[in-house]
Amino acid sequence: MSAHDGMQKKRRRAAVGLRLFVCSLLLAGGVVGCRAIDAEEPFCFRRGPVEALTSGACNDTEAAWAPDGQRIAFQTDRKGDLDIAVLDLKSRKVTGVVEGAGHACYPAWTPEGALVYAFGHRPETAVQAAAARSLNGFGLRVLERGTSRALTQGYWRDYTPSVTADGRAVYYASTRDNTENSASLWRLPLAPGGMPECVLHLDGPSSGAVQPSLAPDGKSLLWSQLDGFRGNWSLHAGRPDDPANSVALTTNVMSAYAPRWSPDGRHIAFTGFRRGDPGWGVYVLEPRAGALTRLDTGAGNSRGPAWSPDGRELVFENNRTGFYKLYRMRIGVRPVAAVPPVPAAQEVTAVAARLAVTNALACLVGARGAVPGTVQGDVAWSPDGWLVLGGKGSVAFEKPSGLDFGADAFYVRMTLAVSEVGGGPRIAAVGRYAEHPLGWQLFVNEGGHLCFSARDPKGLYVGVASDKPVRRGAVFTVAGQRDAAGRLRMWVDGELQAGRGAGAGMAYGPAQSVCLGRPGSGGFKFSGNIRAFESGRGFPPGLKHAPTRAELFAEVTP
Amino acid sequence: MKRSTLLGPKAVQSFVAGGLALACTWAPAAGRFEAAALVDSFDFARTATKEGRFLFDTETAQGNVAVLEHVLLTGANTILWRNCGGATLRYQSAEERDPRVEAPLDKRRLPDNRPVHGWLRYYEAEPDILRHILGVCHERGLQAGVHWPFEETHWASWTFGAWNLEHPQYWGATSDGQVWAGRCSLAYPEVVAHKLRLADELLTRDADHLFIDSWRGGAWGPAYEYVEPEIKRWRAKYHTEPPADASDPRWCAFVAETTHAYFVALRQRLNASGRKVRLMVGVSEVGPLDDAPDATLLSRGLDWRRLVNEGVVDTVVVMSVNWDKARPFESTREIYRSVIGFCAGKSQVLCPVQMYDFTKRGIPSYQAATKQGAPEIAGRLLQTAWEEGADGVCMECVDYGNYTPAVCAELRRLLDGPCRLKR
Repeated sequence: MSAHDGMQKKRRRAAVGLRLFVCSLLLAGGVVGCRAIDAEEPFCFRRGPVEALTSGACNDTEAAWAPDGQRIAFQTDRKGDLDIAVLDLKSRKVTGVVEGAGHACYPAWTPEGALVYAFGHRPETAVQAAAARSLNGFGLRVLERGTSRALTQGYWRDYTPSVTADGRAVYYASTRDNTENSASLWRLPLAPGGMPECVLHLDGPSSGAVQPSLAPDGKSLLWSQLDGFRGNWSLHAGRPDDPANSVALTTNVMSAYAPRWSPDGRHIAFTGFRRGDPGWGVYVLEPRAGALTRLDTGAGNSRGPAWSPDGRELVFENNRTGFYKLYRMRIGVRPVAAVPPVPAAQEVTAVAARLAVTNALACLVGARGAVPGTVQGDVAWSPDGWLVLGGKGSVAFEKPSGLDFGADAFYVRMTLAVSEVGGGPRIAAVGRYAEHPLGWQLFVNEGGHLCFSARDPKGLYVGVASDKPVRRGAVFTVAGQRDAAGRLRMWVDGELQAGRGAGAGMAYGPAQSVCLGRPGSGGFKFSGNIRAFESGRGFPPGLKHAPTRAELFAEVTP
Repeated sequence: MKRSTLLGPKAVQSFVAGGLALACTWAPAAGRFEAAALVDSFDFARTATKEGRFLFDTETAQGNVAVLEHVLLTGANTILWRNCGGATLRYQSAEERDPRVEAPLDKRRLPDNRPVHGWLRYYEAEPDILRHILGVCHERGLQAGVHWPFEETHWASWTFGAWNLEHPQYWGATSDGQVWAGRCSLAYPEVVAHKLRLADELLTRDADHLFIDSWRGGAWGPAYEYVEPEIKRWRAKYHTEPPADASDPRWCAFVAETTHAYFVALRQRLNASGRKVRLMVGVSEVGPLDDAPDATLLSRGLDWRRLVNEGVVDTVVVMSVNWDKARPFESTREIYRSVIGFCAGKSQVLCPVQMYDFTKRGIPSYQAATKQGAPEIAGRLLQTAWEEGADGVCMECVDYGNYTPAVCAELRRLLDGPCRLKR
């Protein structure tokens, strides 16, 4: 054997070895088309090519896979407004099932193969509709055996329905009874005579919840939520009987919406965007551990993923052709390694400062001792320990320790009674910081609503308000919390209020002062009685906690 | 000349050197003292009598003509119509057509639930609202254009632009990396191209005046400019990371270079139309033009003085001035004089006669400081502007009844009489 022959043999062996190695990889992992998106190995990945399902110069969106696995319902604008169509996966024939004037959208299958969808047709202008007390909002309808009937109808918007796995109810987003730029979550039993009920009331400036769906095992509710217009959409989940105490599944750093459960309830597919992504993408989340990956769907925006009934495929919409069309892809999932539970910020609670009133002396008591209050103006003490502020008075506590919350979670809680409202905001308590003189506040606004505010990193105001105005003279306890993600919530007498805030990520250094009542010589005069004040880290003690991820997703039952 | 990301230095230089004659092609009616009214039909949409009868159906041609009639009571001779609510356009825009503008058809927009306001569909109204009303103005011999609050996204998710929602890769980002749908950065050429296409849409609707309002700015500003092109450009220029503090004057000035390049590109686009279109820029919180950092430069990353010096804009619209409460009219006059002097021979100046008082610098605040009546103050501000050599005045938020009949009468008396022509 010559040296040349030997070299060739080595090359052949190397080539065969390489081929064998590649084949073994393919066989073992089935990773054709898989591309690692994250630095770590993705737990969910594409298998095989992406396949186009629809074509043409129109947008086909909001796909929903039928329970029989043979059909996909979607909305299409091929005739101008939105209609519902169904694609037969075998014949590839598209059949319009809800057409005509008006928008028919957001199809959702029942287990029996009927379609629930949202429908709106508003021929009037807004003024004409208001004058005529129109009912032409967006309502839910069901299409059964070729016939549509209304489930809900009014001058509001019901949309993004999903049918529970047992077919007994529809969850949906609705603006019914909402007053601001917002949407709440509702549930409608599908049994005859079923009455809609609001299950999560969110109503504040750009606060809302959309696209709810119940987990296949019925143990958790999932939706996308916006907590104020400066925030991003994020995924939330909670117990169906208490969704207000929800867990955020994604952070405010990314935008995440349109979540859908996998059929076994172990994963969530959704539309997402993170800094550096080329556009909207299909993400898959393992909610218990929090593992997240972006799937490779090719060029263009990819949105609205929906699972096949066997959980092996996703259908989604993509605009690589210039229009959103439907595509499908097979996916693979690897088990996610057990991840130690992340300690929720609200689990770490520490009272940092508490008001103590004795013998006409007010102190703010903290871990490092008591800070005596400096009284200005019209302040008195009632025999039973109330601090009585007459509008021009205040008690200021200079340099209280322990209120240097950084960007972590903190809360403020007060028990008080308000004597006067109107004439501008009236500040009951304010924390002064080097970062902002009105770092956080509890106050009564012009309309008599209690408000809690904090600041964003640039010092801009972020606030939430109580659902109802306070009654003058009534004693109540109000608590506001800024969590570690910069979200705001408020409780009145233990009841979580509907408003939400986001983006309040200011990092607070040491407090310069805490002032109860009118701060300094400025306006905002508070008139009323204060019984208790407390501020600390984490979650307000005694209030109902949101479940942790581990608690919420501990027992996923396929 | 500082380097631009959009246009090379040579392009900007050649524009400045050779394009000024073209740039300033718009010419006002000879000598007439201008009274420009900013009209937002949305503000009229819910106006009703005590009995509940709505006065203006602003989704109809008839309703908007009625709005115009009301606005003309102020004596306005230039009408600048609002083209958008936030970044949601109020005409049949092809550029902002998809995805659906309306909530809930795009589920990323939370619906507005207010009566009337929450149900308006200006983007579908027939006839096209902007084309129609600009046409009506032209028929009546009025100067007509568009008030474009460039990035007004400061209060509701439904005002986010459809294009923004579809292009997250161009979203603005804060120094800590949070992306946000409310704003796309001008540092991306694709965003500039998009906004120039929007300008084209205004041109095809016969807007003769394009007023870019930097005050209603939402997140327009240096805080959301921590995007990849700007970070790269900073690193290349300074060999350091950008300052995390978005109010750092160096960062603001740096961002202003990109904003400036956009205005240059917009100016060129208007010139390329072959029509005489006036480019106006609105600035607020203007004080004496001393060495203090300019408020608009710090808050918006917009160097309006450079725009004036280089002849990029035809008109500076002063939307509010930081007058001194101890000497309201004297300090106002000084600021007017300062701005007019700075712009002399380079651009026109419109001074504020504002009933709108959000900035606490409008006529109600003058009333509080001087105990004088609104008509007297409005007249005095107009006359001050005229005496100092302004080209006209600007009235913001000409909402129903905002300028009372007495105020309107005083304004008309001056505009039709002693202040009819420029000084």
